Amino acid sequence: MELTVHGPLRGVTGSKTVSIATDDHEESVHSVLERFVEQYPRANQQLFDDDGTLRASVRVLVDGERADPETECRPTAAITLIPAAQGG
Amino acid sequence: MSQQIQQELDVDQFTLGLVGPDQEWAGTVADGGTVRTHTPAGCWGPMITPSFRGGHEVTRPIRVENAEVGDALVVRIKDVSVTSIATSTGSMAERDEAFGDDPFIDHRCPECGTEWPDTVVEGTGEDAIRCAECGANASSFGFEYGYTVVFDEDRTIGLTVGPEGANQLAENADENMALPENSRQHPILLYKPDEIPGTLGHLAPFIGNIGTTPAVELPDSHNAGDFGQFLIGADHDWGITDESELEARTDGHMDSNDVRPGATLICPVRVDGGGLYVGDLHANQGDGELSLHTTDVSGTTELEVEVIKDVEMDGPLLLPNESDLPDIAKPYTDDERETANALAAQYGVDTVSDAMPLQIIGSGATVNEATDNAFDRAGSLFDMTEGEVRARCTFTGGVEIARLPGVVQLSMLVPTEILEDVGLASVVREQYGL
Ligand SMILES: [Zn+2]
Ligand SMILES: [Zn+2]
Repeated sequence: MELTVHGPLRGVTGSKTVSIATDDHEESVHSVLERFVEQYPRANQQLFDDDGTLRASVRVLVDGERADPETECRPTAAITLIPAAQGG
Repeated sequence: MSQQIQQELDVDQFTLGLVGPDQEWAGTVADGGTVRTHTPAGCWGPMITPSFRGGHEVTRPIRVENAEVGDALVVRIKDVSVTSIATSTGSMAERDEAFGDDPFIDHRCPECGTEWPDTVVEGTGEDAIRCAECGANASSFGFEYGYTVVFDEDRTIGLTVGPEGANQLAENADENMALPENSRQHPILLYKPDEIPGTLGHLAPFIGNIGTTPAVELPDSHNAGDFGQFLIGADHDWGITDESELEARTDGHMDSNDVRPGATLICPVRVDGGGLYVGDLHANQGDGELSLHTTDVSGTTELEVEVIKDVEMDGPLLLPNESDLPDIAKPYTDDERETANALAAQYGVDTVSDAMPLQIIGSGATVNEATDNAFDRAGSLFDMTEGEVRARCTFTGGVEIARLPGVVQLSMLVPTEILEDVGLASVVREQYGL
């Protein structure tokens, strides 16, 4: 599965697009994000708070459409990920 | 608003967090004239005031005589003075229910759902900002780790205070923040954070957000390649679908601590009249702005403006004070030139090219991308390959972080001949007395 990451997340991934291993079945956005964090542990802070809840300003698009943590995505889906807002 | 061109223009009107071509003008200043501003504090005040559409409270755009799209606006910073007697700052925590997509932009009351609600202040503390409709705490931010700083009368030092001092300063927060009459923000001193008490800091005030109006409307805090990233995919009015739309930015929010008295900024003109705007003064800040926020203060600036016709610039340039330049990017001395001429004769070098310092601002998602952006901007301005830009910046310059995650200043001693060609030689000469 291909993820396009924006903002300071690229400081963690080192690139704008990353691939994460996929199973053959659909999975929720939340589970995709968890596996992304397994691959890039330093991304955790930018996506989840200390209790493991997804931060409110994190934005995910699946094939260009806004998605919720529960949205199911196909193994071939293109995911766009914008981390929690920072700075000012 | 009178269209009369003024030699000296005082500006006391601010926007509600937006910059762009539709904002009302503050007035018109003569080419070669002086602008004076008194601006309310940046980030934190607007961030906790839900009627704002962006993270700062900058001036309305200033029209500059003769400035047309494709020109460069030279802004010489004559003075920056802090008027607040205290401020609070630190790192932020967003409040889940108080916004749609972006806690800086699309505010809404968590209880009644009013968008960009009017609010009133009840008492002090992080729950003091109340929706005028329903009374709920409507602010979209709290502190993750916050501190309150009080300044001495001459604004040379700051001292962080504990709960007693923070309380005292919160009681007269508006007055202590020195908010100008037309400001619409709530003062951050109301939140009275009190970490790291007893810490003494040196003050070195500078302007955090200063630039020309972009051709498209943007939240003022997001007019930069790093914060602009948070507009991607957003559903609010300023959301963008593709990163390439950020090319419209003018990087006003650059947070470089070198944008201080004595420095000169050169900004690309993207709307007729230039639309210079100013705000987000900081009492001090180390390179990188590591809490992502710093000592936001109200304060005054005095700026001299001048238009240079037809300069092809993709982003702003900075001519810092000579003392702020990297050592190897400082102007050549006569002794160095003489020594170089002797070497040139010995090794058959035809001419020793004269060169002068200049910094190219770059911004992007990360410092690496910001540096690439600065390479691109330098390459297109000076018609150099990336290899040549990298070589010159390695041998006669360097890259410095203005702000993390992604604003840099790329220094280079630029051959004078090239500066002549692009029309910038005289402003650089004047800056460094060459
Ligand atoms: Zn600021
Ligand atoms: Zn309400």
